[in-house]
Amino acid sequence: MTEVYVAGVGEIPCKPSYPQDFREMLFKAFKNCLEDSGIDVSEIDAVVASGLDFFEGVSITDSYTPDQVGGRLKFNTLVTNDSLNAFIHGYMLIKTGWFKNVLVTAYAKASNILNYGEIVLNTWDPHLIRPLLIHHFSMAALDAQAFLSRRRGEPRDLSIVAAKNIRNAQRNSAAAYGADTDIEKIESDEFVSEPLRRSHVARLCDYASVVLLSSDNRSAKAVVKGVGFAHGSHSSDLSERVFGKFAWVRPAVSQALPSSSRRVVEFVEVSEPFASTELMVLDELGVYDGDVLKGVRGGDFMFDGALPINPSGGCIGMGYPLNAAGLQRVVQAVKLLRMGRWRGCLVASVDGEVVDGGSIVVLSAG
Amino acid sequence: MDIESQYEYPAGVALSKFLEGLRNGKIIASRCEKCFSKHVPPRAYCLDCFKPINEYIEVDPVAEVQTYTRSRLLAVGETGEEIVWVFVRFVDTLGGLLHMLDTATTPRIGLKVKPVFREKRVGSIHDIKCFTAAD
Ligand SMILES: [Zn+2]
Repeated sequence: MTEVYVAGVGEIPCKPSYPQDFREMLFKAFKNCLEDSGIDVSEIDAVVASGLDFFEGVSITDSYTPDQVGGRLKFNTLVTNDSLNAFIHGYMLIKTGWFKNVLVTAYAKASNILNYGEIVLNTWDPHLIRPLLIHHFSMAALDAQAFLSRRRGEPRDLSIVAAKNIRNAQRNSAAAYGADTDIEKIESDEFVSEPLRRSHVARLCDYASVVLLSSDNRSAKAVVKGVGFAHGSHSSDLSERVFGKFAWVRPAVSQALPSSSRRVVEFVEVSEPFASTELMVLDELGVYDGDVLKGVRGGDFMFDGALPINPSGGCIGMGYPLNAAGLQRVVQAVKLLRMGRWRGCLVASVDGEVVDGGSIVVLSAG
Repeated sequence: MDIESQYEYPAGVALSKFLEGLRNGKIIASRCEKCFSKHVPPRAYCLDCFKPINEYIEVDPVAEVQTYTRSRLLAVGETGEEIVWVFVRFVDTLGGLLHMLDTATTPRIGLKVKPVFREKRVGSIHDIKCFTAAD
């Protein structure tokens, strides 16, 4: 069976905004990826892009992706979903045996969006939810409240997560929002929607990243050990939603990683548009032995803890690049594996800010 | 540059029954003839049996708060006053509704609530003004 390797990664740092347009941003990330992998543009067989027309404000977004990443006259497809899902599509293309080198690309130009709240409102049912004009922070807060209640957590647990990620981001030169903060400082923040405080919400950012997947281990930076994706319990009118629980995680992780191999996960990178997202994913993953909330309070998920979670700073520390969050996590995971400190990790990413669905990828050092 | 995207969404068979019910001050559920489960808002098919549904019935308007939050933010900007959002499930039914709780009621998970209907109703989710404590 063909193995799939990460042959190279490239990104440009997260920033509140870039003067460049998305093509210029992607081109830079692409050049960084090429340099990292050492392969020539002519060797690329296919491009899988992640993009959402609503976020770009451009119809047929995929038609505008291949040019700046060497994809002209080659196989090209768009995944209208989080970019970790696009990564899985790239992985599957190589598994078919038809493709040798596949580029996965993602970018966010969140600074272009002037009414993000209304864009997210379009996620929901036009008769039952949209007329209420609920803000997506409140939607996430409904989840957070239900999660804390079910698991006997405290709102303070969310502040521990946010403080950890903002502090971790200080080590990461690609992060936009790293700072020397602490739990008490975050606890004094206003609530945006109870129990979510301002710093429990990842700030949006501009970002671009490109990952080269290959069947050739010549310049392997990491090995893809498993992938999984699942839709959870979600409907646009929310009536199927089990608040406070991510139903998607267990089926996805069981595809990606047999339960006997969960010890290979030495750290986790998870997209967390909200601090509660990180805890809700972790609670269902099954890679931590013990109660997740006790683990948070005991420091087990810190950079030097038993199972570091988002040592990169996550989306709260780096910035939330919309659908590029999943590929952002992959790039950070590969960078962290190359430090030599850890041998394997798990990457998880939700389909959107308040959706019960997502992807999981397991990587080991190359 | 502004582009207005204009759409008209038909509510569909099952949701139309629900919106009609709201106009009449009633909560309408669908009922599966195979597993007898009731669903609010109504569905035209059963998610468990995958059978088409043709039965729509009025249910007791008492519901239970599943989760809640308080915020001054709306998708279109900040509001002056605090809104309490609740997701409620009607007793003995599946599914649930998102709505507001009247601000005089302290929200908690498990609280029994009922809808407060507006006098003038048009067949919209706004026919329910808010939910309030059931007793
Ligand atoms: Zn049924």
